[in-house]
Amino acid sequence: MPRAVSFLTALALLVVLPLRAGAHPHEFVDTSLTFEMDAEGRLAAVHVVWHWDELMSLLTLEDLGLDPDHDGALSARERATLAQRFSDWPEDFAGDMQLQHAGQVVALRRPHGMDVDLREGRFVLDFRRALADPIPMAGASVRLQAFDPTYFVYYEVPELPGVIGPTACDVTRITADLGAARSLYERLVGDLTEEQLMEPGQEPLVGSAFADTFVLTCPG
Amino acid sequence: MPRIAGWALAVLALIALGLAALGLQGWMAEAALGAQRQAQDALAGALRALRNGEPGAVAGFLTICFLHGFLHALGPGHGKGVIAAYAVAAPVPAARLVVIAGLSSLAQAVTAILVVYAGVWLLDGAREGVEGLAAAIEPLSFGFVALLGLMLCIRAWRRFPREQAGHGHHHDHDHGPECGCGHSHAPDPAELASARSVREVAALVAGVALRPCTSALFLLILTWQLGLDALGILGALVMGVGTMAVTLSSGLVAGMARRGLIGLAQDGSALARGLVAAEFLLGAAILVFAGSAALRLL
Repeated sequence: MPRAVSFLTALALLVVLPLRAGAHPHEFVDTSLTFEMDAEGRLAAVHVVWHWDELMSLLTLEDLGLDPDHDGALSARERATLAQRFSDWPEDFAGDMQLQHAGQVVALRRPHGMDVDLREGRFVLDFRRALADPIPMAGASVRLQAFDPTYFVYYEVPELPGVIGPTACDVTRITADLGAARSLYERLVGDLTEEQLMEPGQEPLVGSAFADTFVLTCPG
Repeated sequence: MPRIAGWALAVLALIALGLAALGLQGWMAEAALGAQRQAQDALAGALRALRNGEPGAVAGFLTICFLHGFLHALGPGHGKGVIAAYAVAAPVPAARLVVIAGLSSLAQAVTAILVVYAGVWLLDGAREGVEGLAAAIEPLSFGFVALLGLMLCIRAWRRFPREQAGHGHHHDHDHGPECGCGHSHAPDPAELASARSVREVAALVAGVALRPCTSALFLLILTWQLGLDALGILGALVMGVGTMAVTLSSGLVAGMARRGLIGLAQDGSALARGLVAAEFLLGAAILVFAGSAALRLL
């Protein structure tokens, strides 16, 4: 085996080992989404259910000193307290969800009707986000994404969102191009100046590039 | 290297390059994400079992720590790149690479342990505070790597053959065109292969060790909060062993690349000089990148 070839081979194999540092999520949330339309055929709300991953849930249980008897169940009082606490989103938190209509981001109200439970070691948050202005959906389409802009939390939507309403609408999934998203992230990090990299909260907001897009279309 | 193994590697390399061209990044990103999720879930399950005192919980927990370190090290960071670059640039025997990879991975685990328990003592266990402490160490780590790059440059510079007198080896006789003494004035490849420097190794180990893995930090904080300190510390060390498995292989692969070069160098002094020049350039590159990273973070 010519030594030159062995050298080139070994060097090429180095390509496979990812050498660059980069963002990657540390928390995972399985998400289910449902479009809810009112009687007039307008999109009125999105019903969201978040299933936090086991590690996130364990950390939260310990941080908040919950479930002291380790039986994996929350008391009614704990659940009520959590529902209130987890609904109290800070001003700058957009709820890790984005709805777009005709190229514009649609305003969503703060969460209401939240229910919190602990199932098989995972926190389940069940709530609704009402649209500030319901959208008439006849012959229209909207796009929905679930993502953390900083890409620290990864929202996975395993099932196609459902639709509840009078009209028979259609939902399709546009899968995210993870390779392109990674390239975008690396390019944006490269564009940051040295001062900016030192500031906290300057991570490139690439979360949407890593998230699938769901398109709801209704017949005219 | 046995013929068939060599050709098998060559085929694998071609496949790797092909995949890279076709978007390996996307596939790997997705696979890595899935693997990380599973690893974290398994860790949470093991911690719950430990907390509830289930039988077999400790063995299960340590196995998961090892796997976690291994899988996490396959992702970005963890000193793979630094160790591989060092193994390509510096003439390091395989046995020494084992020591380096082992020391740096375990030192990385020890750093995580020290950072967390310093944080616990100073900041009463606030998670954000401890993570802040870990982030503060990062510039130091890049500083050490930059230092390593500088040392590689200096060493390569010293080794570069000089045509004038005083190049560091002695002769009993004069040189002239009709000398015929039968040896070359280029750096001796065997000497290149046996050179070592304790300081280089120290800089390398420190460069890797001072960037504790976030997973190890999380693990240590979690176990501390759950009252499982000793197991957490043991788990972090086992995670370091898992990391070592990956950094070691990347170092060995890179070392193979270097040995390939050295084999070539025996045929001509020009190649040996080229090797030294490459060592200098690689050292310079490490110095520039790590140095700027360190300065950015200060």
